[in-house]
Amino acid sequence: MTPWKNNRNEGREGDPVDKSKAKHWIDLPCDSRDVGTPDEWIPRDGRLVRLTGRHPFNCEPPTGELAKEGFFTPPNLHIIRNHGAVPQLSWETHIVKIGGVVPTPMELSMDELSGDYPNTEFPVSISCCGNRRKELNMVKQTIGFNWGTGAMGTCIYKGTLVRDLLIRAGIDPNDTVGKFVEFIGTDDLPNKAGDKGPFEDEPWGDKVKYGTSISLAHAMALESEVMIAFQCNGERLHPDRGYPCRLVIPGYIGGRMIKWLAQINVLTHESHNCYHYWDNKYMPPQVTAEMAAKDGWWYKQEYIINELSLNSVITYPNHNDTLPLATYIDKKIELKGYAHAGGGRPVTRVEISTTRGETWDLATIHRQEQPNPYGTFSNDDDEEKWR
Amino acid sequence: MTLYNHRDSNPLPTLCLNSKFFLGKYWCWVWWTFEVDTAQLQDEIWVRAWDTSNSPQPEKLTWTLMGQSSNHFFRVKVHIDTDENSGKPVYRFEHPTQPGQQTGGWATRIADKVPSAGYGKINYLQE
Repeated sequence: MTPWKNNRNEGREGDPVDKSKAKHWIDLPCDSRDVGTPDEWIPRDGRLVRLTGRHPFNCEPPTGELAKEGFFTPPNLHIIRNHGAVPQLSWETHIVKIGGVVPTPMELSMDELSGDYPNTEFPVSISCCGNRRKELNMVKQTIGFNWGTGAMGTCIYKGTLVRDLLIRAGIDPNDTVGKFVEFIGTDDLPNKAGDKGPFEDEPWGDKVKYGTSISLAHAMALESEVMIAFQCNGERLHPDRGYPCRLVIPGYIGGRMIKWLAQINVLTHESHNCYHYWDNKYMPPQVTAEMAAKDGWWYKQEYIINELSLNSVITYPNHNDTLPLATYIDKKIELKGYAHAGGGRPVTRVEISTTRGETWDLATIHRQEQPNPYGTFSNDDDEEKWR
Repeated sequence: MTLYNHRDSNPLPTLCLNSKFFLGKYWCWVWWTFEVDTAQLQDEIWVRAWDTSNSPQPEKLTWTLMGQSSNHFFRVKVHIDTDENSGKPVYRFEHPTQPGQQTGGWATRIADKVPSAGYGKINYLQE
């Protein structure tokens, strides 16, 4: 009965033909915790730590499992942030509408979206910006649930650039001033504001769809590589990851990368979607939930979170790991972990202190990502100089 | 979705740093290692990263209503315990928290709370 299939894009140029990549999950039974929920049809990895009870599905892998995999994260171990039940969509019938102030509105099937445009494929780390929130909840409860350190993963995404879609819809890449691109998903979610919202022409109902917007300039910039992804690691997206297509904004927080994407609208204002305001905000610390709702803090756009924050985590030694003193006397321990920046910036150094910050030593960074080509030096001499 | 385990999880191309592209955009995390002499270990191990803005992560946490972008120094405590089975001394490492309802972590003890603060005391906003 599932409208989602794992047989990828059979016959499509450039798609992997390695069936062995798909062999494991097919016989996977439903996770017993999903029985009786609307997500009962979805295969999930039992190692994932559930953070909001059985449903909706919000999970992160145990940090040790994430670290064992290293740079690339298997999709089944990737963090999932779902606000409600996973929509049951199909590649064959799903439509992405492109509208707003575009000269040529379009309705694209998945075959058209993936097949009629140049595709691009590269690795992106996606993280919920709630990663490490539990440390804050131990000081004072926030309005969010308890992420540990596993709310990040890295996969290779294949998709069509939003830039190419919008150019086909008639948008001039050099005419971006005062314009925004709105992205809206499929799922019907609770209205977080609890009222009609401040936009008289677009009142919010009891249920709203998850949506957000970014500047048109960012969406059209070649180096931003904002894409509508339809593949992850050579396979169609898993239902939890947005099947059949999702937005990927590299360097941004996962909360802006709309899953189950259904609408793309070019607007002359920011999105009026409820979740664009009532989520993903970095308020000043003195703002409480009551203040925020009463005094309009959710509508102060200077607190919006777009780019990921610089962060680092130790994964080895893991929590409660033990090492015998007698064995390790006069020996070294190899610490391990991950670090990331946001907005496309590289991490330049990672430092370790065993003296509570009095002194710092440089860790070895194992670089596996080749940055995108928009910073290429203009000639070979420059290249030599920097080696 | 392919179910990998770590033994066969590397069918993907390994990329590499090419200095020619240093000014290009980076979309991924890095993994790092650091060898530390056990003689150097005191009570805590801290890590912090820097990026091309030449600012490090903050030392202290900043609490905010939504609890997002939490990126203060990550600190692992180093204890010397007696192993229950062997009776011999061991280093035991303690992270600040464990995800979700899992218990343990020095930050949960310092907070003097139940190990997990649970899912949102202000549930009406999350739900």
